[in-house]
Amino acid sequence: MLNRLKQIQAAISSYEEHLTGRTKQIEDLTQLRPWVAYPKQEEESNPNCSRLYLAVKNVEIQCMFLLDVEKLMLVDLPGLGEVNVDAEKHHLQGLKNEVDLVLLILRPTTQSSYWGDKDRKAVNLLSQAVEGISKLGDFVIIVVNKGNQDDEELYQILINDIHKQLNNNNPNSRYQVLSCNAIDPNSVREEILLPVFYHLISRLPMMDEEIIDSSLTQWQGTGEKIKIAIDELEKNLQTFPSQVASQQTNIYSKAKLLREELAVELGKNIRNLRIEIQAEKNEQSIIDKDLIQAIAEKHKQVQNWAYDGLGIGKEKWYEKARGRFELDKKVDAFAIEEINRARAYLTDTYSQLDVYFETKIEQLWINISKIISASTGNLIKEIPEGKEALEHFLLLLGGKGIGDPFPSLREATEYLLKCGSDNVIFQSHLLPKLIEETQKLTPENFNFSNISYEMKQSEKIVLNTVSQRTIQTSYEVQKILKNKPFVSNILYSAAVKFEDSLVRSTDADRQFFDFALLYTNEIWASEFQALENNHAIVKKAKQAITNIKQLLNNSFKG
Amino acid sequence: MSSKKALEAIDFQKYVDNEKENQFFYKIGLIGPSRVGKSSMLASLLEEAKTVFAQSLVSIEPFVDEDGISLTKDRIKNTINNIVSGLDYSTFDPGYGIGTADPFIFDLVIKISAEEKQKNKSAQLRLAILDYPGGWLKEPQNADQKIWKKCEQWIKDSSVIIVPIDSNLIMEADNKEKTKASRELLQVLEVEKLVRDWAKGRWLKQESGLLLFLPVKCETYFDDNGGIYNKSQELYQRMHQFYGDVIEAAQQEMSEKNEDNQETTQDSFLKRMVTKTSSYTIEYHPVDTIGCIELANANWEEKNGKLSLDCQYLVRNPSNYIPKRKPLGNIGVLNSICKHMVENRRNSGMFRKFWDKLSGNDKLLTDAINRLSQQKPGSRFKEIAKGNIAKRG
Repeated sequence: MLNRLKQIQAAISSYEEHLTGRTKQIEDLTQLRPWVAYPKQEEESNPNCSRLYLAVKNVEIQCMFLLDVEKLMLVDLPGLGEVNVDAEKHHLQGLKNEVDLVLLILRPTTQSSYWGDKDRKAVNLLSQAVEGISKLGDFVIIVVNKGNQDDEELYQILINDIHKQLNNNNPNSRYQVLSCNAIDPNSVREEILLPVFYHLISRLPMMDEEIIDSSLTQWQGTGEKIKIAIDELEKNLQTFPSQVASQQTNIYSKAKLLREELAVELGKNIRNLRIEIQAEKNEQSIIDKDLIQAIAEKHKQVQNWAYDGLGIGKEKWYEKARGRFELDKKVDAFAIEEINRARAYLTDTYSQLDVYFETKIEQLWINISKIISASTGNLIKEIPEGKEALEHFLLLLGGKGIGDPFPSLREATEYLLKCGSDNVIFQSHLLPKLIEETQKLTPENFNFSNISYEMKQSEKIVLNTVSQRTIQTSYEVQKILKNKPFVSNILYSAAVKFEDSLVRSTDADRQFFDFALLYTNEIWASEFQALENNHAIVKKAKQAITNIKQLLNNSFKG
Repeated sequence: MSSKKALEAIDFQKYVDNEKENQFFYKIGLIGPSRVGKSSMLASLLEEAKTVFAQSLVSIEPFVDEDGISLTKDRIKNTINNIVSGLDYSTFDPGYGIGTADPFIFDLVIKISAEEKQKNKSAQLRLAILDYPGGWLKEPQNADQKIWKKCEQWIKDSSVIIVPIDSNLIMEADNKEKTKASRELLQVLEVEKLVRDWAKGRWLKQESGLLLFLPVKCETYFDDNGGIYNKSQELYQRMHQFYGDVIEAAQQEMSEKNEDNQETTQDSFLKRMVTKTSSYTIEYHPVDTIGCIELANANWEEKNGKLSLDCQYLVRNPSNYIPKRKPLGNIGVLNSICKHMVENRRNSGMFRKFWDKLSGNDKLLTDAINRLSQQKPGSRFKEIAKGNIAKRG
């Protein structure tokens, strides 16, 4: 082996350039030999002997047979004992798929004229390649190249030994042994080819039948195993629906917890509002310093306006009044106009508090949206807190386009949003109070009959009177706003109604469950996403099993 | 007032019945802090009485002695001058004079006109109203102890106690802090103590008692005298909030323990007529002291860590001339006092003695008082409680 390796290495320059992986075509078959055979004896003596065959992986020779034969292919497998890596495996693969008959060719030499180990190994290898064929002798014919008559003795020794080893001294009983002179075409045709054809004619259908039977038997066994495996798999998958059912139970529990959590958190919010109401009750007044300050500023604003000639400056007012008194020949007409103007100013001034109420309701929205957001995972997490978040929540409560699945939850959220829309606190609570109180500042509550327009002081009296009454009305308005804590009551009512409808309506339990089912992945993303994915996979697997079963059944029927 | 004058005014010896002179005294205690408007209230009583007693033989006015001196008249005159000078065509400035720290007895006399007297025996019924100094309510140790003791005795002897209340203080306190300040300014706790002592005195003597709560400066809270707001209900509720303990103290000391609360006033009266038991009455008489003004604005101001109320008033229906004052509700007070005298004349030794003497001397006067006692109370009036004085063990 070492010598051979040394030879291979020494000859590298002769074949190196052909190690390209490409296919080389040779038209002239006389030039073929160096590519497929060892160098001749005389060439071997040359230390620079060329070894082109070492660059060849596979050879395909296409030529006409000398006989009238078509579609016959001879595959010359490398001799056993060659220095090829995985040569045996290569043999086996080739024999299994591409070969109908193997001619195991032997040639007696002075070194070896017996059926030896190499030959035994070769037969063993061949036996592995012919699964399903009952008689190896159908697949393998031993051919002995007897060459010229020179080695007749060696030939006979070999023939006898083959029959002894393989055929139990009963020639051709298991393995047919043919012999020919390989360099004599007539000998090959008469002694090899024709017997081989006869053999194939008689044995090939048998071999095919045996192989098919064997494959079928093997397939039936495999099919049975597949069936068992599939049944096992299906059985295991049958446990998954119960997992889905337990998932629903889990969501139900979680929906219940969600509802409880919201009730607790909303309850805290309500408690704070109730504390404020209680504090207001104890204090006998509102306690929100910002609102107190805002109201005081409005009252101060009205006083300054009243003292400043009802906003236009005293002297200018006197001048204007004097002109009108002279024109009207009485004080009433102008005084009435000014009273109405003062009332409008008063209402406008206190109406500006609506900004404050908006802030308060917005704060309530922020608080509630934070509570919802904190309990519902990713549901409204990305939406800016406050009105926008609640509006998005409301959108989600519309379901996914299927009827009105969560009416109580939807109505609760709508009501909460409505509390702040169109300035509803101002419109429905502050404005009526303002209108009621400012009605004291109407002309019917004034009596100017005792004031003569001709008197020097008349414009002063009228201005003072209107100013004082304006301040008095403003004083009463600010007192009512401070003493009737309606803002906290409205916020409290809105929060209580929201909480009641959301978590305590008769159908709330069912609505929460349905809501949780609809938005499971958004609310509990990390917990239920994997399960959801698994569910999809199992569904696909079940479909695949059905298909496989169908195929198996069809296959067995066939 | 100087101390000397105060002592003169407080010459308690003057206020005892003098049958020779046909002078009969009816002692009344006035308990309230200084500057609450006591003088203004009495001035308005006299002013309203002029209207009510017009075209009648009866009059009520400050008592003037034989030398033509009347401290009461002077005090009332000053008070009216202050009011008038504070009023201009559209605003009223109450002014803030220094309240007196001395006791004062408002000496009023109810009498029949001089022409009628000549035809009949004539007599004078003097209503001696002790203005208990507000300062003494809180710090009696600062008082002249001799006078203070006499004042205490006067209060105990009085069958009528009047508690004037600044209605602005109880109505404009719009939070807890201001309410607390108002209670201190009104000296509610001190009033309670004095009223309790008086009530206990009534029970000890088994004499009838009349306790009158008089919210003053009520113009802003009623619409029956030219006002545009009606907050009468709120005023009454707030009076109860502020003076509930005072009322309770009086009832605790005087009221029979197992008194049948369902007993009607008529039943109670008949019972007293038969059994001759003494009674107590607690009444509510809100009054307009000036009548033509209204609160326009009020500011709570902090001075030396204490809140006080600064009020600005407007004048109703201004004119080119001086505004016309129009007090209201005071006559109801007079009616209640007269009713108290009449109702108790049969069942109480003191009252009977007093009434017998008075009617024996001046039939016309007692008739007049009888008529006054039968006047229907105005719509503002409320009877807070009435019942028999509990018997002593």
